[in-house]
Amino acid sequence: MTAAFRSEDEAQRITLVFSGRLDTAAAMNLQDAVLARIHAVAPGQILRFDLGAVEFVASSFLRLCIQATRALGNERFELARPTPLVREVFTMAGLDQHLRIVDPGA
Amino acid sequence: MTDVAPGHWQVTADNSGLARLQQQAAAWLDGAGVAARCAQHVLLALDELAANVVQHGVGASWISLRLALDADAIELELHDDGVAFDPTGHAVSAAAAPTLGGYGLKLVRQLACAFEYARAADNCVRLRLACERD
Repeated sequence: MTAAFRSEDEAQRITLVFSGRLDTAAAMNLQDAVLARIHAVAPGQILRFDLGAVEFVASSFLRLCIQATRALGNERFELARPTPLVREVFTMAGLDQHLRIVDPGA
Repeated sequence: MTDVAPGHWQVTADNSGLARLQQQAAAWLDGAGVAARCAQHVLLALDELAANVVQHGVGASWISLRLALDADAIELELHDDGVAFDPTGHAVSAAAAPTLGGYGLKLVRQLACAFEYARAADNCVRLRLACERD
């Protein structure tokens, strides 16, 4: 499945809804567009990466998450709905202790 | 499980080659009946090691991959023609705060039950990953 994302913009939150396999090649292809969205988040808005439809992540995508949390701070960046296989990668990298992971459907 | 023929592929050392390796390895793992979680681990280790060659390797023009199954593990062997680089000896950050990089080899070390490097005519990295079948 080809990796992609779409942006859902609300007054208080921008959500990037990712889908597919975010391996290195895919993450590199999406990198510039994702970074542009990170830097477009307005003061007072938060940024959410919705990972509910993501099948796979590699470290190149983890790096994008770190860039987002560095740009916005931990209070204004969150990851939502990672599948168990995807969450396991964040855990192995030790990032589940540093990034805010939420389950808005719970 | 051990009657599955090893898979062997060679691609160019660039982003399109990385994508092709992922597709070919995924198809082979699926055909071999490897459990989904184990297959994801193999594909993650492969992606991280091959990406290292493409993004940080000097002079690499190709990458070759061999996957083989034995009774309880998958052996992954990756070759490239870049300058010598031993990923098994590369330091992984232990910083308390998240760093921007260094996660690829950290993941590989956690996934592998054996991780070896040899240099002869080219770089050769061998991994063994525990494997379960569906």
